[in-house]
Amino acid sequence: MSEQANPTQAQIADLSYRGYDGPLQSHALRWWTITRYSLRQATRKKGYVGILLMAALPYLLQAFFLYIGSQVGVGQGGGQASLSFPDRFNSAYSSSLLWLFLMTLMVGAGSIAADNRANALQVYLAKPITKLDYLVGKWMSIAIAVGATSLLPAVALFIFCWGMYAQEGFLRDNSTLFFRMVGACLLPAVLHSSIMLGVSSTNKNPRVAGAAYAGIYFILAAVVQVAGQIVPGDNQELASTVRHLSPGGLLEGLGKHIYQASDNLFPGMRGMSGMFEQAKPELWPMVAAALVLIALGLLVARSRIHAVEVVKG
Amino acid sequence: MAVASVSNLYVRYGRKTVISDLTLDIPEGCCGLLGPNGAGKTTLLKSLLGFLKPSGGQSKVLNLDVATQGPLIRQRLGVMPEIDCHIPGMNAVSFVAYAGELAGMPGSQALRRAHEVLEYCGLGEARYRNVETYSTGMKQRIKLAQALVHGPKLLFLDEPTNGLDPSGREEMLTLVREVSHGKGLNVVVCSHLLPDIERTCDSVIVLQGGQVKVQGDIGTLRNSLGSHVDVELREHSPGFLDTLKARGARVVSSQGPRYRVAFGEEPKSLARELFSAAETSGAQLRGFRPARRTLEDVFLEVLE
Repeated sequence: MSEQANPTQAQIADLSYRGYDGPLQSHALRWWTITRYSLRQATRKKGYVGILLMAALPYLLQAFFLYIGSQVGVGQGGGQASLSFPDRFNSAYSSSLLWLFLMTLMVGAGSIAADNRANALQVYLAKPITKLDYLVGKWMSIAIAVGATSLLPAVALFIFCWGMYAQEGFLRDNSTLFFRMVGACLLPAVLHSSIMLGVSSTNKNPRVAGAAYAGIYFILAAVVQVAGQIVPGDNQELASTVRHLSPGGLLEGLGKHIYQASDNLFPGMRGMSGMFEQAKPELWPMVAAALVLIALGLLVARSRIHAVEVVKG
Repeated sequence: MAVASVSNLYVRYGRKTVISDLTLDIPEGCCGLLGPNGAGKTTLLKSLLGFLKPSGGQSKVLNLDVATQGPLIRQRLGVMPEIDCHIPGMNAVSFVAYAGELAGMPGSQALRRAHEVLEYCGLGEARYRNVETYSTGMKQRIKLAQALVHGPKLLFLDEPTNGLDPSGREEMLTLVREVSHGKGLNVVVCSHLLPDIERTCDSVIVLQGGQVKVQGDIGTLRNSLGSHVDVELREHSPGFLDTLKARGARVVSSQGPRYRVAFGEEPKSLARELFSAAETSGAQLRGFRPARRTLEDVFLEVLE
């Protein structure tokens, strides 16, 4: 009698080991798997949505001011209503920088540090994954999380402005604004993820890695502020440049250049022009400093990724 | 056919040479890699995986060159490392499916296979628990599961029974024995626990100081170093042992009046040889029988 004819004697489940003969994909996009899983874990963390909303708040406020301005007439919505659009975007961008930094800490502090603690590199590198795949995968996961936090509200504000002022020539007068906005918003993603990755790779504890990056961020900011005060001579541009040579300062200064924003600390405050004027930091020293920080972070991370610890001596 | 081979391999840690001019073939089936601490077992596995860059020589795994085809090799290979390792913040299913995807499996296949392999490794009930909450035994099992998920052709197991209680060890050895026999999967077990190797492997390679001391089928090795006899006297007799030694025998072990004696070549009549030695030394022979040698005996003799 066949098994089908006598189901009581049929084996209902074969639980023994069976080989896998299905497809195995090519090596090209293996880093994307790492990015996808890392992002999935990051977005499940408590506080992710909170930071996302807080980073979007400055853009929301700008949209609110614009709406109020349009309802009560230009110039009636407070000083903000007379801002140019690049100033408006730059203001929102600068206000969101602290939240982008916090997002970096949340998403990136444990990216390699947690793997170091759990010896996960042995799992990764025993698969057909190269060090570069791993590095790119981890870097992209931080960059996408920070970049999205920065870019999505900016794009929403852009669409809002377009909708509100299309007939007044918003796109004609600000033809490069969209691209400048994308560039400015991706800048924190690139800088933060590179430095954070380097710091995370040197630690086995995500909290210590986060504290180390916070230390670098704030202590360096304080140091360059002091250094900016003691710049010899009356070179305001040099002093301003020095004051911007920290991760946060670089993002703020480069953002100003990308948006081509005004030099006033509080643009739009009519009757007080010049009172809050601040010399614009020079572009190229800041670009160089940002590139050095990015390269340093990536090189440190690259040198720390090993499947096994080799003790030489 | 060899599943892995190395020729004239040199591996150095800084100025210290751990493996020097090593040439060996790892045969198909289940092969044990034995040796005292510092013999170079784990170093050999790491260099076969491409984790360590050798300072000389060539290595091939599954007929692929380790130096140039590392990712291809690792796609066909499963590794269960010695140390505790996992991807943090994941439950068992996610972890094993992720390992499958890293090996190149499509997402849906990896997930299906993760359930299957976890069931097979005895973690079916705990598959949705975070791996960080697992006991040592469960962590050993999940290391095996992530190594098996993509259906490798060759499996490297580094100390698979580390930290397991007797029943856990028994179950792990049964799993290893099952996957390495009749499933088309070649296994290399690296361990210093000789009974584990004896239970699971068909052949063995003994390393010492980065060199192959002995290699071959376990059954053959047990009988290769002459014939061994367990002898029992009425009381301890140094004269009896001296007589045997004078006739070319070697005393392997001695415990009170009980001895294990090895004859380099099988004597024509073992009984006559023993009775004659007893008569010459005035000892009383209580009994004798062919010794059943374990892998441990072979190992100790080789290292001596």
